[in-house]
Amino acid sequence: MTDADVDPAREPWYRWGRRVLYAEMLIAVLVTVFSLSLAFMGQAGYIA
Amino acid sequence: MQEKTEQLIIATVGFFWAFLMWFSTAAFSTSISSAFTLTTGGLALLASSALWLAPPGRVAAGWAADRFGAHNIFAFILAYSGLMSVASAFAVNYDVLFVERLIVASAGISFVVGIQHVSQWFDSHEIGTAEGIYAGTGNAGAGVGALVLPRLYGTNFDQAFLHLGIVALLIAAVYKWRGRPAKDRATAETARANSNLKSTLYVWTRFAAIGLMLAYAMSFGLEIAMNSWLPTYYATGFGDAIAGLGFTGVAAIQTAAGTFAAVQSFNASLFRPFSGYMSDLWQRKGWTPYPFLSVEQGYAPRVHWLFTALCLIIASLCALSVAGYLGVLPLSVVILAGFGVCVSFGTGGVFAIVPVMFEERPGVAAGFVGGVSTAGGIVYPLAFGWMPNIHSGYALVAIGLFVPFTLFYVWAMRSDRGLSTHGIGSRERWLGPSTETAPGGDD
Repeated sequence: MTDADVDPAREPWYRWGRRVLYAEMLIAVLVTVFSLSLAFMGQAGYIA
Repeated sequence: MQEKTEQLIIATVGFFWAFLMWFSTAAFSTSISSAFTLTTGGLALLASSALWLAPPGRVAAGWAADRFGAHNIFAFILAYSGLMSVASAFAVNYDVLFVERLIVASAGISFVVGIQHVSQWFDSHEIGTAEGIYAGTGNAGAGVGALVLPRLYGTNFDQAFLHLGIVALLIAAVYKWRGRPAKDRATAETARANSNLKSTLYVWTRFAAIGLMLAYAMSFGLEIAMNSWLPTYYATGFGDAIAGLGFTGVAAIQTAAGTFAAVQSFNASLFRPFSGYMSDLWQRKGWTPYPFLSVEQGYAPRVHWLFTALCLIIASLCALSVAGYLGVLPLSVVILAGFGVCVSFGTGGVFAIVPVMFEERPGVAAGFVGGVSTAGGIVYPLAFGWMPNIHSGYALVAIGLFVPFTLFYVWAMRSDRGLSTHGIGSRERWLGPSTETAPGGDD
């Protein structure tokens, strides 16, 4: 069986694993937008 | 819960805490400087010391993980660094504190131990996502430390070091109690049997391993270099623009500059699991778009994904220089955020390949790739600071170092020959005739 034949999405861990990685990306985007908006309004310091 | 899920969680929590301790000294550098009246030079020495032990320490830790089992080595690292963190809370003079924090910072070598641990549990078709979640979540410990610790403890760094050390000891106990070295005895035995000097030299002399090491130096080495360099860069290169936003005074400008720098750190860490996922996806779909890279190896699509990441890192680094020359602060910061994502593509891409390429020697290979490359964190800031114009350092490193690194990567990965012959000396040269070697072969 090759990698192409295997669908890891069927495994339980892979489902929550994908949720974790989506959540982490969302956190990164939110922190970036929030912090930079504060910084450009002259209120930096949230994550510094 | 599946047992491999439990092992992934244990490794991830352990690495998160190890990373938190690794960079906890930096989070309190101002307080430590004030308490012990350090000079600027002394403060810089303290900051750079966090990286000193990583290159040799990771090489040794990777080998030890193969030899003695990741659960034993990870628990040991957390235990000694935790004890030393507790001791550092009671340091009476700066010399003692410096040595104790140097030892605590060595907790960062646990990275390769966890990489080995995860690789022993997850199959090749899902390894990118698993390693990405482990390493990406763990890397975020640095950003979380910078964000939370000063707010939680103020200037009481001794209390923070005490509590961090106690929790590390607890995690070490859990790791030792619940950790298992591999999904089955045969897998663990193969890694153990291959953890000898000849095996190590075999890995170190493979051109593909050297290519991956350079790729990791371009990504993780650059990430930690930027962590220490960016606050200085923005405060110096964009001081007037930051002042124009209303940040007046040295402390305020440093705070604003630190905010911009932290954006890079967060993105580079938290997008890393996505890169591992992308590597798995490319592998599953069989995407190999570059005609100058080999398509013969079983992991070829992962190699192609990593090449994409390396090109993005070079492009975004050059773009940072251009934005600096233009003097447009918002543009520079937006590019920096994208740069962090590109770096994460590189870090996640490398360790989606290493355990697959060196299936029988994951710890030794992770130690080489993840250890030697960390030297980039020490070298790049020197190159950035060496240029007369502060904005040109990025382009210098991108063109002078990263383009040759990438060309070597392409050369190493374009060969259709297997690992056994594409290196300095053949497999037989290092390991002897196949009938006399330990099980496994990575080829």
